[in-house]
Amino acid sequence: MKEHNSEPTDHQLVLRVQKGDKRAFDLLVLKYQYKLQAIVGRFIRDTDEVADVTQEAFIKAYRALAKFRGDSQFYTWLYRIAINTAKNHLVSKSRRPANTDIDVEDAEQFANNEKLIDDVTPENSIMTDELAAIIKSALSALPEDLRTALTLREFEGMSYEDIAAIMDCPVGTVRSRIFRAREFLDERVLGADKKN
Amino acid sequence: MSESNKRLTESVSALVDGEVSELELHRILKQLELDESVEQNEHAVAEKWSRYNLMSQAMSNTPLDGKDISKSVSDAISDEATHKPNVIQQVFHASSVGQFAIAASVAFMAIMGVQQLNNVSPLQDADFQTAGSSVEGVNQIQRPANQFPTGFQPMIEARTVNAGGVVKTSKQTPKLIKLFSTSDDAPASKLGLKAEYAEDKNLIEDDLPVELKTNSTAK
Repeated sequence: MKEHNSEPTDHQLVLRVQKGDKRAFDLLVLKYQYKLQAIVGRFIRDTDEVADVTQEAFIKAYRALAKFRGDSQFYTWLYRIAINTAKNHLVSKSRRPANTDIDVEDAEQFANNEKLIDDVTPENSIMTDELAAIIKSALSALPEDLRTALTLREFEGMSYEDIAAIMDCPVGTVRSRIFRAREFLDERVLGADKKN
Repeated sequence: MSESNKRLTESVSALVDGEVSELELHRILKQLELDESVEQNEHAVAEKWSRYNLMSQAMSNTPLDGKDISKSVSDAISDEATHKPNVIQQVFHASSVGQFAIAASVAFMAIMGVQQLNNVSPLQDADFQTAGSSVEGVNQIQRPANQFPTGFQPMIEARTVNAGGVVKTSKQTPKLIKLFSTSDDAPASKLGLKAEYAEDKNLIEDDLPVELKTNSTAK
């Protein structure tokens, strides 16, 4: 399975921030906050500390964003900052870094590292597993055309243009189908959230 | 959900996939700012953006954890200095603006040129219908000769009737540029063309080219 390529979006938002638009950085925070907390959570167990360290990492990233030249992907760069911040936090608290010592250079492979994924906390696992289960169920209930469009995008990482060629329809139709599919899933996720 | 809200939410979905224009992104960011002033709701841009990304990350089995810290980060960032575009970005922006200005100028000149040509269409403009018509407008048709492109020679069909009742039809390509020249040393002025038309308004052209006929009358 190809990973969802979010680099074009990140690049667009980073350029906006570099031009002085702080709202674009809000979108980056909204996008990566849970992913980053999951990573910081590998070093620090206390959830409040995890939130504080993640916030600190985002602020450091914002300050350093003017120097970000796009040599690496934005999320890779952000992860490195988060891991360094977490390590520095542990050092300042005179605690050894958490059970796994992660090389900063390998940060971009962090999410795919099976050993680390085995170390996920129960809360983390529930959040991810529950969401995945709801989405899986909702996907199977989607009309065929919507499911195909979303699947090609999310699981194959295809562009709208490529999907349009495969589905033999205009790019606008692909865009609309993916949107409708997401709205369908969103309703299911919101419904499950309200039940909880 | 209203139609405009639906369109905006569709743009948010496309932004998740990196498939939005700069204009759409601008609209999303503007709405994000507007949403901050109203009570949080599940249809707000920030909420939609967050959930769409969460779903996308969950589908790729990305570990997710923690609580919503977006507000506290945003508050902290608001105290930070705003980034300014660096010199390279400014130069790039300036060159883009320059290129746009040149392209706009060329397009403007092209449009003006086409309009000029349309204004002096020889087959539609009454000023050109000299044969067999009133010549009252002769004094009004003074316009620069250089309005016509080099080598511009419209076809004019003239039908005249002589005393014997014989209809003559002649197609010629008169050198109209000379006819409407206002310059003192222009050939038309030398031929005394305007003077002839002014003296005899009932003048009927029997032959073409007009220029030659007028010239012989003057003599």
